[in-house]
Amino acid sequence: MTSTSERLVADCTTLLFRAYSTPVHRAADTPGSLVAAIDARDGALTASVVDLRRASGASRSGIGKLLFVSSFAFVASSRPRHGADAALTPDSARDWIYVRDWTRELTNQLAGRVTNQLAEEGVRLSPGQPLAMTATAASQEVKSMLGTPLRFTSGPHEVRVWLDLRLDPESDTSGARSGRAALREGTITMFDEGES
Amino acid sequence: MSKKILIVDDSIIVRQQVGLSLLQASYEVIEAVDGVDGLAKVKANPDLALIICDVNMPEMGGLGLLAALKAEGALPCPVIMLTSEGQPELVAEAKKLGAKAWVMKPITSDLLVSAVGKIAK
Repeated sequence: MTSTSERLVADCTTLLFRAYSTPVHRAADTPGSLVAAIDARDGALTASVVDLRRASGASRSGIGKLLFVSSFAFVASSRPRHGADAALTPDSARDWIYVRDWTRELTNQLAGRVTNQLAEEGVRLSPGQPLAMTATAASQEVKSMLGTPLRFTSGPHEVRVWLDLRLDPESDTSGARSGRAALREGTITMFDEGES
Repeated sequence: MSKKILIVDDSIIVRQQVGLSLLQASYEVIEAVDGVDGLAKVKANPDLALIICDVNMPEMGGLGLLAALKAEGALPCPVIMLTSEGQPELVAEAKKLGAKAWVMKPITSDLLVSAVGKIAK
C-alpha cells in the first residue's frame, strides 16, 4: 500500500472499531496465506469488498478498492447489541446472514471514513456497494490487490484491511488539509440549527 | 397513538438497531431495504411522521429516494439521512432536496431519538 493508503486505513479502521467498543490495534504482518492464517487462528472467515469510484465533477479524484477480511467471531462481537441478544454461531445459516450483513456494513462505514478523510484533503471519491464474500472469493480478491494489507488484532481476533488507491497524480496530498470539512462520525447536523 | 417512522437501510442490523431504539421510545416502526422499497412503503403509509434513510443503498439510494419523493410534490413527511458519508457535496444535495438532518453513523441511541423527537411531525 502507498503511504496515503496506509495512513487512511490505520486511522479509519482504528476509529471505526473504537466507536463499536471493540478496539483494534495495529500489529506486525505475518507471513503465509491470509485466509489460512485467519481460519487457523479464529475459525470461519468473513470478508467484504467495495469499489471507490471517481466522483462525478471532481477536479481531484482517482479510483480504489477496499477489502476487509476478518473472522465470524470478531465481526459478531463488534455488532451493536441490545440486552440479552444471543451469541451468534458459525454453525447457524441464519447467524451467517447477520454476520455477512454486518461485514458489509462495517466495510461501508470504513469506506465512508476513508472518503470523508480524502474529501478533507481535497480529493473526492464515491463508495460503491459493498459485496460480502466467501473465504474462497476473498482469497481470489486478495490476489488482485496491490501490496500487503494492514493487520490489526483485537484480543485473539484478527482483522486485515487492504486499500488499493490509485489517485490522479495531482491528487496525492499526503494528508494536507486542502478540501472542505466533511461531517464527523457520530454527529447530527440539523439543517435549520447546525451541528450537535 | 404512536407516531409511525419508516427506516430505509439495506443493513438488517442497522434497521434492527435503529428500530429497537425507536420502539423503546414508543414510536411505531416500519422498514424498507432500499430506495425502491422505501418509495413503495411511503405510498402505502400516508400517515408517516418521519423517514430515516441511508444514502448508499442498492437499487435506489437515499438521495434518489428523496428526489423521487420531491418529484411527486412536497415531501410527505420530514426526512433524516443516516449514513457514513459526510462529503459536503452530498450533504448540500440532501438539504436542497428537503432533508431535515444529516446523521453520521455510528450514532448513539439517545442522540438519534432526541433528533427524531425534534423533527417527527
